[in-house]
Amino acid sequence: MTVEKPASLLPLSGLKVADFSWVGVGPITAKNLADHGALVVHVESIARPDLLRIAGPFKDNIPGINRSGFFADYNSSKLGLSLDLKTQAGHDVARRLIRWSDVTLESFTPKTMRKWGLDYLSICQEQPQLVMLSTNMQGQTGPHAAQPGYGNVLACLAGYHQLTGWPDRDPAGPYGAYTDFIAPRFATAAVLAALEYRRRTGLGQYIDLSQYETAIHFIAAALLDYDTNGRVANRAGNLDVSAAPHGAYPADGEDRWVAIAIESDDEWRNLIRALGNPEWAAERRFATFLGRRRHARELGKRISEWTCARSPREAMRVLQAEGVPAGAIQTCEELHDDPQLAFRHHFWRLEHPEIGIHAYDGPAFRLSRTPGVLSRAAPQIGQHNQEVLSNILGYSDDEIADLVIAGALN
Amino acid sequence: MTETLIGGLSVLEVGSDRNVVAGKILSDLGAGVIRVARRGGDSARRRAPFYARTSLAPGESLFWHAYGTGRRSLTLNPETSAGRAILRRLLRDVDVFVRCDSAESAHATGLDAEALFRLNPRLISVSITPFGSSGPLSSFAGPDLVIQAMGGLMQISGDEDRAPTRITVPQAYLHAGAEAVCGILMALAERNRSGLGQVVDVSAQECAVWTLMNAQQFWDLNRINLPRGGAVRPQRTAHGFVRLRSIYPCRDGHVCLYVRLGPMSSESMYGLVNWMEEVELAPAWLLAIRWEELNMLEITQRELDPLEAAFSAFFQRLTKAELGEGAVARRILLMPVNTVEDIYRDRQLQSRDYWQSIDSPTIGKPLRYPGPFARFSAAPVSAYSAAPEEGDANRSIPQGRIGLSTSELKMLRASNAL
Repeated sequence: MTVEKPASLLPLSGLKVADFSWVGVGPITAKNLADHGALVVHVESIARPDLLRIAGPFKDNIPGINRSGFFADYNSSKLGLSLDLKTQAGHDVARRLIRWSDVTLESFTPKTMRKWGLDYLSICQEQPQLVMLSTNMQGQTGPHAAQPGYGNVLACLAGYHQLTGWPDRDPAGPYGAYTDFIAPRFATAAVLAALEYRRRTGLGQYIDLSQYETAIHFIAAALLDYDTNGRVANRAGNLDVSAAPHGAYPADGEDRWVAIAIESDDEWRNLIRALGNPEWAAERRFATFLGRRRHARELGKRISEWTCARSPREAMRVLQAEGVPAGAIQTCEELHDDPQLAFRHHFWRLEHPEIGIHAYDGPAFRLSRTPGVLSRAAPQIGQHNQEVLSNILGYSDDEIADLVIAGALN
Repeated sequence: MTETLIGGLSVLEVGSDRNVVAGKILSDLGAGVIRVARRGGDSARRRAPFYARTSLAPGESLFWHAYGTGRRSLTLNPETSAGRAILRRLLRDVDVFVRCDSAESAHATGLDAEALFRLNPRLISVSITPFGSSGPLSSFAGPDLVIQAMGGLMQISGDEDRAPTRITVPQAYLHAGAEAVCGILMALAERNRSGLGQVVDVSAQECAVWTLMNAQQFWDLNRINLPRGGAVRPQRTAHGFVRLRSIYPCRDGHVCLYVRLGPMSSESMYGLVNWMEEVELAPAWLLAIRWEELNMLEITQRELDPLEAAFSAFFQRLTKAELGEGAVARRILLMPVNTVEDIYRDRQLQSRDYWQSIDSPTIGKPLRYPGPFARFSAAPVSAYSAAPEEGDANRSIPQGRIGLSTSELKMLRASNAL
């Protein structure tokens, strides 16, 4: 049996990554590396599998450890190794895997890796070239370092719920674990930057990435607004401080909507033209931004009379053709037949042994000469134990049998 | 001088609110970033919010202050041939060029990908656009709201009985800018091997799709478009939908409680119920619940409603801060719904010396910035320098980097190139 190597021309070909992380941030970071050519081994325990394996959605709506699309999406192009880190033999394998790796990622709560002797300080003496990234909710130090959590609650701590929804209602928040989709961009950049440093100096390093601290960067302007003006930003539905009209307008169909964002007087004139120069649009109260903002509700009713007779996409096409920034508020169903996403081949349809052919998110950027490649579907739990242990880590068949008996691969 | 992470990589960016965060992150990592724009032409300097004392004056945008750190500004008029010549001269020896215009406009200004590679084969040329540089929608306008709509997050965010909502603080081009940095560093890794640059084509829409968590999978695998929800969100069970509250009012705001019945959150739920018992707010039926045995797929609304009522009664007695600290001590999956004010007061961030105070000459007082996005043991994120005034490098770059004489510089000024 041989280890399938990713295509040789990818940007990170030859890079070796040990991925001990789970759930969102770490696995997405490692996926970014894997989809661009790195050889990534994703480590999980069968006794305590990645939580996304037991969260849905599942193939055919039937739960199963290898049936979760949620897990699969973030683990494309990786090899899967099952390891029980509560056993000594499991530690030995983990230590060997780290020694093999250029980059090790982990997202346990602080102290866990130390308890196992797998923390950076224990390793860097004999492996000074290792780049190790730890990522958790709130960082490795400080009074809240050990607090468990998920991106769903962390998004509240980082301000996103206060800033999403209607001002007269409880905060709504964005769907899901929003901060889980900020941190991987920073974590990927951090790992690549540390590798660039290593290329020039020969030295690895340790990276402590608090998902809270990265997430706050995306509300930095609102923070400075408080720091300088004392203004506490609040959720405002879809209103915008410098654009009007700016909102979601009902379209033809059940719970269907189109977004329109008018940022200038020119765009306002374009909108009037696109709507067929209706009489109301000439009213003086709508002539300036401040007037439009003040009468947003009335304006919304007028615009809705036009939008509700059209599908979201039809409204978008008519408006965009006239120079009006507008977008269909797309359902996930529509994303799967969005012509632009299809043109860019955003979704990769890969065949998974238990899920069958299903969609994976590809990278959000394209490199012109060496674009990313999703080289394989996500691993089933422990799918590549033999390949990893034998071909990558050099265990003999007898030694592998011993590991099985010791329960190290559970 | 200590070695920085990416060691003086040189970056040239054309001023736009859509790439400003990319330049900031690259600068944090140690790049030297030059921002070129026509005088008054950098949209990042016109983005809300504004410093109240001066309202709309360019340079006082707090968006610009937040993300314009760590670079030098060159005002350049590309309508003049001398302005174009300076730009081309700079492009010849920078590592990275970050722009946000459409492919058509790039072609019209003679800065399309092919021309750039003839000029500098090692150049990493980055385009950040709403939908990508080509394709059927590539000419569509895509401000933040349109991208949050077209990326799918809006449809499932907000209250069920009202319109979908976006995140009020614009997000689309922050994601796209940070994603661009990933692409740039991938291209750099590749260039180290091949010696060649390439184009990094970032689509803000695709970045937005990447914020959907498992929602697109629900369509792909189960043909379900998830319903929208807010503080109370419809959850699928084996028998249909139940409404599960995760955001609760408390004494001075709101808190978020993560409830996923079963083993995933049982430690947290026991911690909460025990805390409630300490203050005699845990009814006997609540104490009797075996949380690890419950199953989200089997739960009914009749079982959820009393839970919501019991938790609400408890939370309303305490403040966000009390609940937040109590949750840390008891390992409960609960966090306060912070305002920006709360975030500045956060004990954890303070204990990690997170905030970076830097003087802003234009605002006239120090601003407290979010600190390093990661802690690197060998080569820390660079100290921030305040967002530059327009044209602060109009002398130093043409003279130092391009080697123009003082009289040549004067001629450029006279011809309106700078």
